[in-house]
Amino acid sequence: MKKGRGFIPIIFLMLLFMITGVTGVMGQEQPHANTPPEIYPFSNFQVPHFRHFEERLPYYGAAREYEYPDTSEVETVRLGFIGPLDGAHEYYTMNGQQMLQGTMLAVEEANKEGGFNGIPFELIARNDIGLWGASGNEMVALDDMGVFAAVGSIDGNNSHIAIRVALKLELPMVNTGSTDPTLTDTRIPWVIRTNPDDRQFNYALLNEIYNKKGYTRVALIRANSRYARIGTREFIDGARRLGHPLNIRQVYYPGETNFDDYLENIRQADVEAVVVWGEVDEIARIVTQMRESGMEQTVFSSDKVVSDLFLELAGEHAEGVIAAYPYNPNILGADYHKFVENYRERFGKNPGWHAVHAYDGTRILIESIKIAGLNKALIRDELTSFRKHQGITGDIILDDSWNSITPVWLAEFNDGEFTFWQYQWISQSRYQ
Amino acid sequence: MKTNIQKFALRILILAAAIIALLFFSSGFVINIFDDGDSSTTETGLAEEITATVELENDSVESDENASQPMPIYGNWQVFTTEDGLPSNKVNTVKIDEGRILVGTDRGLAVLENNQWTIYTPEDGLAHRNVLSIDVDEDSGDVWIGTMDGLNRWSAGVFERFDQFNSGLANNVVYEVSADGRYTWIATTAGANRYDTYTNQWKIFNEETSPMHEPWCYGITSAENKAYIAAWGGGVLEYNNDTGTFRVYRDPDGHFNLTLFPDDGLIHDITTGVAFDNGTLWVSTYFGLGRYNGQRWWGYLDHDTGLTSTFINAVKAKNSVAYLATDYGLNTFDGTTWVTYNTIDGSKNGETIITNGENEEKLITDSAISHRFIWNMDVQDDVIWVATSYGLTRGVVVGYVDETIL
Repeated sequence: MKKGRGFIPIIFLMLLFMITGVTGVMGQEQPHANTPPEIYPFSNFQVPHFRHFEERLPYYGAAREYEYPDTSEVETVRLGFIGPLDGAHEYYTMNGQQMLQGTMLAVEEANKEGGFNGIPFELIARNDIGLWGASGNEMVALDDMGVFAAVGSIDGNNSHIAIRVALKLELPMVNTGSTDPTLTDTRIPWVIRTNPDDRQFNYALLNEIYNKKGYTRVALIRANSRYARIGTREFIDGARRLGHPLNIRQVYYPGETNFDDYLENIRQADVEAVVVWGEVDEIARIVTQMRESGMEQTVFSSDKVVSDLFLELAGEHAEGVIAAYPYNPNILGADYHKFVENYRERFGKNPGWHAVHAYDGTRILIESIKIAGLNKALIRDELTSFRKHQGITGDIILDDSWNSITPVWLAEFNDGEFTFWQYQWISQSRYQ
Repeated sequence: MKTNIQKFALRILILAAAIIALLFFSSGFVINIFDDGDSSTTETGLAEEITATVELENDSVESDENASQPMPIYGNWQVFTTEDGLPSNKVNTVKIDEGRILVGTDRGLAVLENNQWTIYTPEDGLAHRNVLSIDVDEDSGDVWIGTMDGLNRWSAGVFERFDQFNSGLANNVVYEVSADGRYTWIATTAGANRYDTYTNQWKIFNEETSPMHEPWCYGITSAENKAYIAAWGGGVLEYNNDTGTFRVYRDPDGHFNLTLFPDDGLIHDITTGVAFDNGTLWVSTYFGLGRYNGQRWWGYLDHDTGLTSTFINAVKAKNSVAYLATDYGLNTFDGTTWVTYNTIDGSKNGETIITNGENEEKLITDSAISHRFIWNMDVQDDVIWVATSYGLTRGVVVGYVDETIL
């Protein structure tokens, strides 16, 4: 009897571990943004009091009960588009145009298939570069024109403004182009994002640099811009949490063309790898000046380098550059190649990822409308209900903040072409 | 030795049992007791329903605003929809202006005066049909109206329009306006403004002219010669009119996806509104409520307090009480006691819950707020007006919280 009592606490403790094991010691089975446990914020010393985004925010408003136009009264089902279509910045306008073209193809195909119950979709596009905070004004204009939902945008600042207006207007929105990680961390139950963000790109680079290549001395050079500040935050934090805080950080002003001083500082820091984050022309210049000055460190960068524009600007110095990218275009199936063929035929060029994701995002939106009808709240319900969708680049996976956590890829440019491999975190911690 | 081991084993046993019990209770068992209708749920008629025409002044309990009062309980809810004359059931905001009620909807400005509704639209000079914010300058009587496409000053029957092209307005999407004598403060989707009504000068606050981490302003209020700006993603900025300097309040953990400690500072940087009264700054966010008394912060989430939802659209303050427009009910809180008001699905009755976080009293009322999704509210004397996702609701103080019942 006495002997048996000794096992009771052990049994209780086992039970306790089983219970905590079910809920997860780290809280979630799949953490927000699919963050690897060892680089989850504060994971080395403190369990947070509360984790947000552990479930999807329900929409409790009354918009489902509002009066919407009768189908018989609607001549076209209007869809809005906002993006950088016309402005001084070549990279953004180029991708804004591609995003619009991808959206156009999806709308045109839907109309060929009969539109919405025989009513054609009509795309109304607005430029969000120009007047300060233009995306907010353009969203209001689109709403005034009677759109049922909208697609856009690319720039993080403009996208943030647009989704806040969408929230107040109660207008469903699909973001297919912004890589700002904070965009969907705002609990707006009217917005989904279908493309991977810079956080996913950062995780892939962290894994490649520290876990796979084993580098320990790394430099970061980035633009003094919101895009680069937000876009590298997870990398900086992640490097520190992995035990390898960056050896040197250099921040240049947008528009600078001579990076000698910054590069000299990096050279003196004796690093093994350099992460470059900025606009595509700046990255090309930095890589060129690095190589011309004899710096041979491996260069890592964003999706922006996987583009014809970067290869043109960087020339031979693009050799060996490694970047994160949303998908691997070399292994995609028939749907993707059909899209590429149609895109080339229609617009006379190859589509970049902004066109591809806009096409996929718009198709998701159109499917939602076809199921839900012309009630914005019901469109929202449909749009925010899916967790996995088969797109032309493979599965699009959304987490509980409606953000894409689709596994991203890495690409290395060698001998005139990019070689791709998929990112998969190599766990090296006690959480294994 | 053996006895010591047995004692140790017994202690482990008790500890393990306690933890398991805690896990069990925290998983919803307590809630189920109430769901099953135990004695804590009481049927009560808090007060008689008002079903007749609007009585703006004669049906409320007399009170002295400056006196320290117990927590008010509102009731006698009276609902207004398009059937009563509103231009739309989507009511964004409401403002009590002495003998009239100014209501901002997505289809114009509605004014209730002498039991009559008057509707104003862009054809009358309104900057845009979608009215998001209204405030009244107590000195001049001018009405300031923030819309989705510009700002109006409604004075002497004339709508004067301010926008990005004819003024220093930071952006045409105006989420909140706060009129405070000489200065009118404006929160836009791309920066904040201070408009000097004496000199007609505009001051713009954004990431280039202030320590604003992000320029997307959602809420603004002014008190004691200071302005407080809720910058969505950037926390709260306090601007001192005397010194022209800023003080910034940010979430110390710096992460949107977690709350490391609830009381370590501002609860979250995604701020939606600010209110200041009686020495206390209240901050609404989409991730909980923040309270600051000038010395320390408190943070409130919905899983361990009386807050019905952490998704808070707006906050107002009156004396020591904060009024919270959440997506799941109207909440009031004085730092100790929560009183929450909600609808009951499939019933015209309402639900009032009084709690101090540990004990609660649930009251079923004969009337209810028009919808649980609250966009905004305004309070004056013993009357509250509530702007909801479906209709406008008026309530009056029908009693005060007796904390001994908790």
